[in-house]
Amino acid sequence: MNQLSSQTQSNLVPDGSSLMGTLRQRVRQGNLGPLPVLIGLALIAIVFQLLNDTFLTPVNLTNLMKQIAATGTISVGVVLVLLLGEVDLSVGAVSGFSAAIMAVLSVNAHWPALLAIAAGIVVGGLIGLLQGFWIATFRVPSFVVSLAGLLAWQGALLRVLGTTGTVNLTDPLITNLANALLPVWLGWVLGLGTVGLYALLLLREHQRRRSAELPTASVLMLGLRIGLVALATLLMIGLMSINRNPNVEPAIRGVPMAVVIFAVLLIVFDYVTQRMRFGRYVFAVGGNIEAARRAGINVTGIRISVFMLASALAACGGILAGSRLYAVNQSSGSGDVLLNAIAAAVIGGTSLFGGRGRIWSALLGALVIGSIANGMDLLALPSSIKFMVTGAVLLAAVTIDAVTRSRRETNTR
Amino acid sequence: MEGRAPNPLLECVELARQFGTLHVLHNVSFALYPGEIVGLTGQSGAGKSVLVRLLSGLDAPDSGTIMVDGCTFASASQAQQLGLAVIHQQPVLVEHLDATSTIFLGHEGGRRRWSWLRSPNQRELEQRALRILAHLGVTLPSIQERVGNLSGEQRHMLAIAQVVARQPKVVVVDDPSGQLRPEYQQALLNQLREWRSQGVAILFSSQNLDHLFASTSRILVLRHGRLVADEPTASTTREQIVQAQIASDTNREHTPLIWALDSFYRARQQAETLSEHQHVLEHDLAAQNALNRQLIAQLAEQVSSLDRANLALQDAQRRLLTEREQERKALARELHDQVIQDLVSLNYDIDDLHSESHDPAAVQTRLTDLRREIRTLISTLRTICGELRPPTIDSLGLEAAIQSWSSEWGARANIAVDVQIDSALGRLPEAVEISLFRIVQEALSNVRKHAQASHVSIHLRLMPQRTIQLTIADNGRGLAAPTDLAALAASGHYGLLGISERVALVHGRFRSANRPGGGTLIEVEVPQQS
Repeated sequence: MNQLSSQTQSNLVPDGSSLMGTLRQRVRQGNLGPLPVLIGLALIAIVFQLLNDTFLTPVNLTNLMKQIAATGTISVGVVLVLLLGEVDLSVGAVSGFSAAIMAVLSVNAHWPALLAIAAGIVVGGLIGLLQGFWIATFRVPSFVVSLAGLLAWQGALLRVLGTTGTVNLTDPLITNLANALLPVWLGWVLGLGTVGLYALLLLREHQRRRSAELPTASVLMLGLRIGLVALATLLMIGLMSINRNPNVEPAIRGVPMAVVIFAVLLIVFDYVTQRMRFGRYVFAVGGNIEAARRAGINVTGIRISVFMLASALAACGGILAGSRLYAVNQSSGSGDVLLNAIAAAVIGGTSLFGGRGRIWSALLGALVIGSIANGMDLLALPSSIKFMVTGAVLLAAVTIDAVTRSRRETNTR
Repeated sequence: MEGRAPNPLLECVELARQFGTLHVLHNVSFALYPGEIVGLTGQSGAGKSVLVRLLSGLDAPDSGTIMVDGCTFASASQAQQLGLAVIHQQPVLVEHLDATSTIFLGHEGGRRRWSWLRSPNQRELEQRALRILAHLGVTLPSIQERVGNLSGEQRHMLAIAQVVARQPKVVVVDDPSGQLRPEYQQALLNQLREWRSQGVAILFSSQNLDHLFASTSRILVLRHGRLVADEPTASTTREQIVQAQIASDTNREHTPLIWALDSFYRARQQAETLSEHQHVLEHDLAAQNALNRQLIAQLAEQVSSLDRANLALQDAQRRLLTEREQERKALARELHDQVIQDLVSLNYDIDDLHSESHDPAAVQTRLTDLRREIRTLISTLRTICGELRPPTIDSLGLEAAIQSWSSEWGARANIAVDVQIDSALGRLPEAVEISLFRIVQEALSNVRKHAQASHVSIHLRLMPQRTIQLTIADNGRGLAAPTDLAALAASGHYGLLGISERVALVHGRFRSANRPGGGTLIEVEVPQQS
């Protein structure tokens, strides 16, 4: 009965024939995409702006973006692991440990900055290889393996940092990784270039599909997507191009490097998951492992490489975090780093049950968590309240996922 | 038997698999050659599905080797790289993926190294997917529809399309057709034959002996994990295959208990088969029953229409009798009132003539009077005869009769009559001529009584196949649709009924209808020879 009605519905409203029709159909199927998160973000911004009018200032927003870059980068890896239907609890510890390796190599062993950074990322990747291999080969649940990793790599971090417990980063290349500001013109060029390329690719694909007589999304939907991406990108760059120095001179303006790196990682991994065969296999393995195996996908290889990527991304996040704070210490990657990264992925809309989600959810979720933390800091609320509110938001996000999931299932069966 | 290529595409050597202490497969060895479909059958639990899993690389044998094109493999993905593809009995698909991605999952663009790093051209894939689905006769709501929204059958066909898209060298089919509608089953069998003609080796595992006998060249039978028969399809029978499937191993020593269990098992199996047959029989019986019921209903309908025809016939006969009586009465009255009276008065006149014989001049006048009266009498008699039977029809034929009657009638009724008669008509059998004439008379009198028309046209045409068509069309108010002859007769209007009876008498066809522009059309077709 249900199937019949959804069938007729999809017959009545062919894909993207009208905006409202598409929207209604998506609501019915429980396929809301990023809509709830965007609404949540808008609500958070309004509430904090009402409580404290510094929230929506260029200074604070740039700060916010810099704060979430590290968490967001770790969260990209978490999204990949969640797409697989697994979980990685070691990303926080790995991020701290990798950053510590980089810091020790750069400061104590006087390695060149680039080499130290590369070593940190490689160590992260190797950790992922080890854990992924363990999970895929011995069939030990990823929860357990990564929990063991969490403890082990935290121990390793303490060991590497030695008795002092803190390594201050001095190499300008490393500290600039997060803190350097892009020249304003370069920011605009990059932003406009990205938006233009995005629009061009989308329109060309639309044109080709139409001439091949394949189903296409409506032009309105297309315009909306391009418009939204262009608006968000250019608004961000515009905000960051305003002078943030309260004393006016010297001017502090431009996009922070950390944000650029985060954005590049988002774009790259969105391409990987949406376009490349590898990404499709990740979705397939996460969606139904038996189906993936039958389709001839090297399931073990995919799982190991996803855990590798997640750990390498965690390493990148750890290095960004260290760079932003000019130091790596015993608490790097501990505390709420892991929980924030996982919460960001889930709040952004990645399903905990595997096979469903997008890389962008790392950005959206990190924005939500970052905004809450940032806003409460502005209101000078204690961390106790911060944790409780973040917990409530996480619960709400997962509930939305679970409810839409069950609705989808009653809708399709 | 076709000539065999020396190298088998799929070769199994002494395969064995056991779960715990249960030996599921035992020393299974066989080979598949290019361009042949080999059937695999056996009762459920005989090890077919396990064998299929081993062949697909999803499970590994405890001992023995499987080679595809001469190479062994260790996993499903390696098996597929060697060109082996499997259609499973139950499709397992990724719910969130769209149809196209599902079809090409795992091989989106060749089997090149590092190809998992490439990004497939979704557009091209969708076009190929549309072609494959059209080839299989499957329609989906959209090529981008998510698998979760598809029906069970559509999923099955997607799984089959996956294998088609792979262009495999060896196909292992675990017959899914029990859950497919006949068209799709046929599509699957056709696809198997197409593969065979392309030189693909196919292992077709099925319990449906119809399918196996229809498509395979050899049949392998598994029983309790052993290969017990390998027979060419052409030289075996269903009975042999079934026997191979269920026969117990007679060489083995059975303790009485095992015997008892075995015979119990067999008895249960037979009971199951029996109940299945009974089910089939019941189904057949039900179908037969339905057919019978239909036949009976048709028969009843025919009988009742026969009854109705009978009633109409009786009615017509009664009417004929009364009409004949009335006609006789009228004739008698007319003869009595007119002719006899005239004759009587003539007789008196002649008597008078006798008495007046002395005056020749008076006699002359009386004779002249008499002659005139006799002439009148003759013409009266002629009118009576003419009404009984048109004089012109015998002498001048139907055409003249209709012409003269209708012009006379037109003058009387003050209605314009247009008569067109095929000049090639010639003389017709008497019965036909008189019937047609009477029909014209009847129809015209109907027009006068009911139609309120101002114009009537009569057409008489020679049609192909030696039939004559008479159409009488007026521009009056038409019939009260629809015409029901029985109802008309019941209400005392015999015009159309009379026409239809006359037509039936000469084995013709009769139709009356309203003309599109208003008015009535009467159409009669009679064979020239009746």
